[in-house]
Amino acid sequence: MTRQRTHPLRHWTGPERKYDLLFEGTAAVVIVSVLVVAAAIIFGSADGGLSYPGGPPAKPGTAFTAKYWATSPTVDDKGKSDPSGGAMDFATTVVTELDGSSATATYGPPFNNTAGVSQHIGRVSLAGVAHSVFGLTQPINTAKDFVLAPLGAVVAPYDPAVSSAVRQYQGAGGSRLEGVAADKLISDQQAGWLKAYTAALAKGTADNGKLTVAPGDYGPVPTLVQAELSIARSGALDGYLTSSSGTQLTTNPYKSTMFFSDGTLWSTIATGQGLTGDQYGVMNELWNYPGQFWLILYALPYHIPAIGTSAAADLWVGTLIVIVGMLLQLALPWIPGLRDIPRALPLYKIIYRRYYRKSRSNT
Amino acid sequence: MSGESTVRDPVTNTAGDESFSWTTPSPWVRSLLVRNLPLRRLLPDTEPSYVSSMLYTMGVLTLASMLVVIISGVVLAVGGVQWWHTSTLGASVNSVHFWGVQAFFLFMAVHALASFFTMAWRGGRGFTWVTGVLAFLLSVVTAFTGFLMLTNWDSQYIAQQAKDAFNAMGIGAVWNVMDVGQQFTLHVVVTSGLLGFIVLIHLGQIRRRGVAPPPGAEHLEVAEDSSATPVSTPREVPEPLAAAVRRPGAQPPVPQPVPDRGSL
Ligand code: HEM
Repeated sequence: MTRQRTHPLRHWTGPERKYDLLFEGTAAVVIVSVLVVAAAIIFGSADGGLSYPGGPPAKPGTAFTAKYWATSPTVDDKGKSDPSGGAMDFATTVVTELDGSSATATYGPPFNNTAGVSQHIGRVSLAGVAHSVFGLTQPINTAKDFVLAPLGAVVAPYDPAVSSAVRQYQGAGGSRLEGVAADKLISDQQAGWLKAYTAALAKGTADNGKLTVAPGDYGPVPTLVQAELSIARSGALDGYLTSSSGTQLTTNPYKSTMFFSDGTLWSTIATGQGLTGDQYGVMNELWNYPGQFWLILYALPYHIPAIGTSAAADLWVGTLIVIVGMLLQLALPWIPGLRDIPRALPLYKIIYRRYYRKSRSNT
Repeated sequence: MSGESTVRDPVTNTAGDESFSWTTPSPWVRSLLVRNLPLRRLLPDTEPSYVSSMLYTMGVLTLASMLVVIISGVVLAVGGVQWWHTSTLGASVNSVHFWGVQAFFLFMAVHALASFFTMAWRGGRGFTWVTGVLAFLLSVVTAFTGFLMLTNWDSQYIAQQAKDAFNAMGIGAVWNVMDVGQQFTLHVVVTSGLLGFIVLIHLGQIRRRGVAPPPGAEHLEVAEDSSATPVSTPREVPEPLAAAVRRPGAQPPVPQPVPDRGSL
């Protein structure tokens, strides 16, 4: 049988020169190894850790923890440092996890069933499609997972007051189902306690980890939040959040990551290190080391005003990346106009200048 | 072609035109390889003179950086995910890995630009470009998953930020960028493995097709089995092999059946 081949082997019949592939390859490996090892010795590499203006001494190679969060100072706009700022930020965030107003609680899939929040263009929501196909793959109940469960496991067995506060809070209703929508997290009674406590906490203090607020009808909430702050400051909460997924050792700390990111210290650190989206943060790594500079292709679209301010910014950028960053690049040799750019901008004449000069003088 | 008059390559026992069979696919694979990737193409000792430009070393330098990255990466992975935070040796290996990646992307960017501006997809090389772009995309994903398994603040923050795009695109349901264990597997097994595979194909395509001629010199590239050009210089290739790689149907100068020596 004779096979039709579209591209038979072809042979260059013009001028050639001697070279050896194996030699060139080996030389390249040696040269690159020397360069890379030299760069490694001279510059080292960053081990990104926690730092922010006015924060405690920078700690390379560390991860964000509840302990760091609840024990760190914060600095206000006028540069005034508040030693209990981290503790107050932590306590405030804990209340939002209980009442279902935190970013995590209101995120929607894949964390919870909070409806109508997934990004969509027109009527198309890819997150919604994934939700109906796969269900909630990373379910979170912010009140239970971040507050009630750790208190029940870590503090309640040794502290009758906290034990009865947890029981009283849970007895007042609210859903402890994983992934429940934000509006089902609390009952009316719990909502009343939490609303009053939120207002009081805004005027309260957290000196040395002790929360003080004006008296009011907060039910068991102050006991819960105080206990949560205490185990955060001691490190016990980190032990709970980062070591177990209930039945196994965890290699999947998504719950703690989501909890931590609901606070403001999280973004204070990111801003201080130039990591946020506005700062083209995906391209940076810590402390002036180059990062994923190639991601500029994917950071740029967020800075197109119409996209950056859209509620579906991520979906628009993702779609653009698939079309421009993938399909267009792949198909480029077949796209008239794009593939002709090098003829309009004939840099190849410079690249091949020696070849062209020789072949002209030969003819 | 009948078996009698077929000129077979003595080394591979292939005539270059074996047809596919599900039960005995080996002759077909041998024929495919001999036709498309003869050893003189895989390990050449001459190249077109226009390849002397520095820009043509960029692909090889990309490959060399990839090798440095793979070797240092294997050491890091064997050390364990958190080893490099606590050990000076680990930190040094991490530095090599890090700068290897920077070099890799730098060389790759120049290589891709050079391929673009020389229109290196000309002459049936479109799929060389396609595998190149796939290599770039896989490299981006590989680097990204690498940054997600640092187990320090950087990886926490990058993951927490990246999840929004992943969730908006619906991928986040199965690809949880905050799941360090999953990122580790993706980084050291899945995306690296796919990248290695794609790069092998990329290199195979280049060896098979050679580099694209300068614009205007396309006519100097001639099909090997056209009667106008010799298959190759006799110095390079023994005649039976040269005949074996001819397109079937083209007349070998002196058809000389070679005794079947079996598969060597
Ligand atoms: C892992 C990354 C890559 C490696 C290891 C690699 C390696 C190579 C090597 C060794 C060559 C031989 C010629 C030369 O060095 O210029 C080559 C050629 C080529 N590469 Fe790549 N490459 C990579 C990525 C890319 C990318 C991102 C593109 C395009 C977007 C690309 C497109 C091409 C094309 C079109 C050729 C043919 C060049 C010609 O015919 O002149 N490659 N590549």
